[in-house]
Amino acid sequence: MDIWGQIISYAYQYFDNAAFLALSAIGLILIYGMMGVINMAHGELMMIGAYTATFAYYAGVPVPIAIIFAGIVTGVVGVIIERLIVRHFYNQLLSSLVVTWGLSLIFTQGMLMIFGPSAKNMPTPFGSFSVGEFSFGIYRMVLFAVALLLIVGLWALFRFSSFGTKAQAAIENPTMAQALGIDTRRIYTLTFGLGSAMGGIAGAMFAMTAAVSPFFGQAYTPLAFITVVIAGGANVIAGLVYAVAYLAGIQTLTVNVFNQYIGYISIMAAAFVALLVMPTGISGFVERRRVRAMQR
Amino acid sequence: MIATHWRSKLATLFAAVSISFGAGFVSEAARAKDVIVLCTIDDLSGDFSIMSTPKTYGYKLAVKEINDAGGIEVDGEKKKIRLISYDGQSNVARYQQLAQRCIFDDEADVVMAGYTGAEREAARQEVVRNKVIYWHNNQGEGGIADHYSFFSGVTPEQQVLPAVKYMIENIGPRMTFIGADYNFCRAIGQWVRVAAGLNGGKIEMEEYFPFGVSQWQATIDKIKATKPDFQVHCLVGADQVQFYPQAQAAGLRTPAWSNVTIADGYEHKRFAPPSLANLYVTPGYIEDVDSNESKAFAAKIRAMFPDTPYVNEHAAFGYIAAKAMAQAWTKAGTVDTEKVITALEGDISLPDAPGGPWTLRGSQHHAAMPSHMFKVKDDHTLEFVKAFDVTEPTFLKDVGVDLTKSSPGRQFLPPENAAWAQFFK
Repeated sequence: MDIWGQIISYAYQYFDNAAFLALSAIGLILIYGMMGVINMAHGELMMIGAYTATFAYYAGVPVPIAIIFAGIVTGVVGVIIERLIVRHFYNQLLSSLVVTWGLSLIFTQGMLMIFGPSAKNMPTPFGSFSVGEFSFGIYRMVLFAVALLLIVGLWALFRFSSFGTKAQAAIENPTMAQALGIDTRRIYTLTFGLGSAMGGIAGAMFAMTAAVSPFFGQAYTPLAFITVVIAGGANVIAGLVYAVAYLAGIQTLTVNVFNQYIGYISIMAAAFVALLVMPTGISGFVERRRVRAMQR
Repeated sequence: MIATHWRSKLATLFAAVSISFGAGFVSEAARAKDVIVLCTIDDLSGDFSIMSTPKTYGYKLAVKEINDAGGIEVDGEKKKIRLISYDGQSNVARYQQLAQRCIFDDEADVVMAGYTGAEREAARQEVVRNKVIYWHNNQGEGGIADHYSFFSGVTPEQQVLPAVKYMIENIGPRMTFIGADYNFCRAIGQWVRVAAGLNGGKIEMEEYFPFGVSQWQATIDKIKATKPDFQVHCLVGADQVQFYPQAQAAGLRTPAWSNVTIADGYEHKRFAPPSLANLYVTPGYIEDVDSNESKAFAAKIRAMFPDTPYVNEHAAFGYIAAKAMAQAWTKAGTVDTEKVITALEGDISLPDAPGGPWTLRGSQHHAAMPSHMFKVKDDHTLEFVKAFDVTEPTFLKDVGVDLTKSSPGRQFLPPENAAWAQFFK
């Protein structure tokens, strides 16, 4: 057996799994961490991104622009949803859950009625590379690169821009932020739009490797929710990175040692164990440890 | 506390009494009805709507043709068929409720329901328990032997056995099998085992996957390491079919045969080429079948439903089942269940069915029909490979079942055929 090929294959699978989790979860965790809203319609925002990119692509738009366009359209949809509906349910976890779930049903059924049960997806670009007997699709690594880009971009936005500073203030202490002249409502709207746009971009990326249908989003939501729950809301970006690294590791290991079936179950088991040990998610756990260390 | 407990018990009792009264009225009412009721339950929304929606087109076309021709003469008068169509929402739990609604509220003379095996069983158990005729109009794993249950679709005898034989003889004996982990694909796995055993093939790898699996690199590696002559797939649902673009991108070009892909979900129209290149399929009908009956059927469906993405196997089997029932009612001259079953068991035949001559075998409750092998080309057009002639369904006969004489009321699987027991050691 070809040792190098096998090692590359494990690494490839790890990054492939990580990309899947990170792209599915990034928009969701941004909205949850910043505003305490579980957006059950996140998968449907991804679906809208997938449809937008696909339509744009078959209308002759180049792929990168189609992806950015999908992000913009989904972001605008997110802003509209926030303005009309979600705004009234901030920090009401259960109400926001039910409302956004209703939205997701409306989106899927609406799409089904307008565009029918399926659409043709976009071709997978780039081809493959080989190491010894093993060969790999290049596009899956592009997915990882895009996931990384989005995470770093998000971090930079919150670290360096004035929007990021204001957003952090609005989340930390809304009353004080308002008193200092920050328009918190606007910040919330923009953050929700940003989270939605991330979902749209992820959907557009997946539209090149999965069939596009009104139920497209359902393939991504379960694992996205598990990732978000494990990550916790204390520190969105660090939490996402930890959770993705952990889950992708477990998945890759168990799939190869046992089989896909055990691999799939192991993710649920891993999530269960993580929540037993760290009920507030990884980021909450890390945050508490840090606070305790500083107090010493 | 105790009072409410008793109240709820009383309520249940009352409900039970009223239901049994209701049932009594139903049979009275059914005799007096001025229409014949065909009740159908299909996935018009949810993951399986892609496959199942065209089936309702088949029903609607058949019912329109029958009613336009004046209806069916039963009990001395011409009656029209009333088609009642429910959405099962790709949700097994809905099937049981809707089957009850078909039987008790709509007083259905026949119920046709279900896409997956789980949906089929949820609806079928309810329907046959109430002694109403049930049809499943899909390809299926076969082997169900029940007095009230009929099957219009292709069985593994008409798909798996000839197709795997062809693959072994023309490509090579070594194969890998991957499939969804549920009753249908598990049974298909057994049939592939039989086909391999009968024709000198060898299964080098066999693995089943839960529905949510969508990352396939580990499996692609395994298949490549096995270096099979060909692969056999039974991949079901939107997540699992992501195997195709991933395998293609990873350069896995080994020919594959699948029974569900394309026939049900027209993936060659939904995935950008060349994701499915080199895939062989063996449907009982798809619109690419090149015959006058096939083209005429597709044209009629398109005329009635211009937005049809692809006229698939389900459209044809739905149409066939409704037409077969019309023949049975005409032949029986009544809608009385037992008399209609006797008529159905008299080898109802549709010589000009969309996929080729179709005959329901009374002793088997499954049909004799041809199947058609296609290969997906790089640009996703389908290249016709071979027609498998009309094949009789004999599996139930081989395990000793004759449904015209007695009904075991259960499903038989390949290991129960003594002649094949050696393949399952």
